[in-house]
Order: sequence, then C-alpha cells, then structure tokens
Amino acid sequence: MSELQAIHGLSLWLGISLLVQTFEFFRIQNEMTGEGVWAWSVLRKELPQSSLLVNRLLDFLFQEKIHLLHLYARLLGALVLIAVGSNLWLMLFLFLSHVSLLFRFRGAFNGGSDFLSLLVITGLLLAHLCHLIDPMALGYKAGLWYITLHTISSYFISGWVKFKRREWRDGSALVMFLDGGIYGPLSANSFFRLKPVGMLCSWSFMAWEGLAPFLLLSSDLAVLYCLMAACFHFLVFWFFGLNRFFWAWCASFPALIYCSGRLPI
Amino acid sequence: MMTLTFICLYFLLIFIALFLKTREIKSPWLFYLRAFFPNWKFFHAIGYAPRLYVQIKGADQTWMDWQVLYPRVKRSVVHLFHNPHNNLHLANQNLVEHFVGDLNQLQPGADASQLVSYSLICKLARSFAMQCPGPCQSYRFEIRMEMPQLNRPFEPRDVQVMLASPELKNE
Repeated sequence: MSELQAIHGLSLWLGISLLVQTFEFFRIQNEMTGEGVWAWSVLRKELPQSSLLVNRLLDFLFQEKIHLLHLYARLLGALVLIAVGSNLWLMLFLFLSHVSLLFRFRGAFNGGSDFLSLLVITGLLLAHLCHLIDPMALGYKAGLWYITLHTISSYFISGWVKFKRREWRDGSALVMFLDGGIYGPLSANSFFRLKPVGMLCSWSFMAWEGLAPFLLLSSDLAVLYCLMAACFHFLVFWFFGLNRFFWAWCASFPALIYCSGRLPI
Repeated sequence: MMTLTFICLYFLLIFIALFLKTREIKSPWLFYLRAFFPNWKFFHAIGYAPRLYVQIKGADQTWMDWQVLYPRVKRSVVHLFHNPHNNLHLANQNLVEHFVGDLNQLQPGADASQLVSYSLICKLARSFAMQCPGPCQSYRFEIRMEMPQLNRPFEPRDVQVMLASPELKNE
C-alpha cells in the first residue's frame, strides 16, 4: 500500500464513520434543547471561567440553529471525505468540529469512539500539514505513524490492563460484562457461562490485544490482524451496542496496514 | 534501527507505566479535553457499578416501585449503521458514572445539588418520569452502587445507596 492509498483509505473510512455519527446527532437533537437532558443552558455553567472568549464562542456555536448548521456542514465534510478525499482545510474544519462536539457532551459522547475518531482526524491533519511543509522527506508519514502508534497502543493497553485483573484471567469478568451489556443479560444457558469457554475467550482477547505491536512486523500479519479486529469490534457492537466503535477503529486500519512491514530491521 | 528502538522503547514504557501507580491530574479543561489523552482502559475491572433508580409519585399520592434507568434494548443489525437512541442511553449511563466521580471529589459537607452533573441527573430522572404512563406529581431518585454477581445478572452481590434526592416536583 502506498502513502497516497493509505491516505485515501483513511479518508474513506473516516468519512463513513463521521457520516454514521453525524446522522445520529441529528436524531437526538431534542435531547439537546432546553427541555432535554443535555441542555447547553445547564452544561455551560460547568465551563471553566478562565477564558471568557472560549466560553462566548461555545455559547455561539451551541445555539440551536448554529449547532444544526454545524451538523449539516459536518455531514457535507464527511461526504467530501468519502467522494473526494481529504485535504488540509477539510481536516482542520473536522478537527475543530470534533473538538467542539466533545465540549457539547462534557468531553465525550460515546467515549472510546470519540477518542479514536479524534485520533484519526488529528493524524490526517498532521499528515497534510507535514506534506505541505516537506512533501519529499516527510510526506504523509508522520500522520500515518501517529495513527498507527496510537491505535496499536489502544489494543496493547486494553489487553494488558485486563491481564492484570484476576477476574479477567479466570474468565468471570467477560460473563459479568456481557450480562451488563445493552443487549444483555446473557441467557441462563449461554455457552459463555461455561467456565472453560469464558476463560478461552478472555485469554484469546487479552493475548490478541496485548500482542498488537507485533502486527508491525509484516503487512500480511497486519491485514490478518485488521480482519480479526473488525470481527472483534463487530462482536463488541453485537453484545454492547457500540456501533460507533466499529466504524471508528475500522477507520484507522489503512494506517496500520501501511506502516506494517516498513520497520527497518 | 533508530525507529525500531524508539518503537520498542515506547511500548516498553507504556507496559511499565501500566504497573505503576501514578497521581491523577485533575483540571476542568483536562476533563473537557480528555479525548486528547485517552487511557484506553475498556471493560477492565469488575467493581461497584453506579445505577440510577427513580421513583414516581402518581396523582393519588402513592409512590410506585423504584425503577432502574439502565439501557436494555432488543438487538438489531440496523443498529450497526444507525443507533442514535441507544448511544444516547449509553451517554446517559456515562453521565451517571461521571456524577459518581463528581460526588467522590466533593469536599466533606459540600452540597451535591450545586453540581452541574446533579442538575443533569435531575433532568434525566424527570425525562424518565415524564415517559411513564399516568400523571406524575413528583419523583425522586437514588444513586445506588451495585456489585455484580457472576451468573446472577438481576441479583447484585451488594448494594449501597450513595445519594438519595429529596422529592422533586414535576413542574
């Protein structure tokens, strides 16, 4: 995969991910008005008072009509990403748009998927910025490696923090989390309740996540890892309803595939 | 070789950091910008989980049973592409968890009702009360910390009430 192909792949998948997110934001508009749970009139009281300018800017942005306009612009941005690809100005707009939406929801609406989307947006912004500064030597590499290292870190950390916990090592945590999922609880006779199955699944996840840095060794390995990751994120959606996680992580895969096998060993 | 050394060192440092106890840095701006510093710790520990319970007083002045506001929905493949309401439920549950975090940081004797997260939880409880069939005169809520039990999803091993609201008029 060439640098340009990786950038196009990232733009396409990020565009799809942002499209899914933006359509969902349109549908929950009622919850963000005065009567809704997430009314800005209440949330704004929590803003740090140190920067009046930022606070005024946010007040302006989160007026109902302006916010709606913002969502339309974001939708258009996502469509351009899919149809045409990314450029510096589009990525700058999407970066500011994403950060402002994080403020709208006290730092995150959907946790990890917001974080990874920001990571891919920042990586693409960095890639275009570096390409502008030094197209020959730097190119898009810095942005691609930025996305790759952070995405691998997300799996690596997630795997090893689980490994530290006894309840993950004995398989019980998996069952308890599945019972607590949005589509849960598991049925009484679910095969996940069998201890050997719980343990096997837990150890498989921990090992697969914890060994993520090894995908950098070859591009074939990276493709295989990304296919497994897509299945993993689909399962996370299937049991926990986290659809945005699926799209957000898929958006980072072109960078992983590009960077793998390019380590000078 | 430099790149490889750098990457190996990077993951080694992360690995070591996972086993070290570090001081948590708190700042209002950092809270809002935490997406720039993700900790990537998903589903990592089993412990007391916060749940929001709401009780509604009907027109006949009697209190109904306590009901938990916890998202449970029917699965659909369509949700992979469009899942706004479930994501909103999950954001509301995150709000409950952040409210507990805010409560834990309160100085002794401080008034929880001054917290913005308290106001948001009141709105959440009210929106639930408004959805219930029949007229709702007032409502109240509790934040309960529940320790889950293996293979008994509806029977927590332990429950502790962390906060009980006064009766709130449905205005």
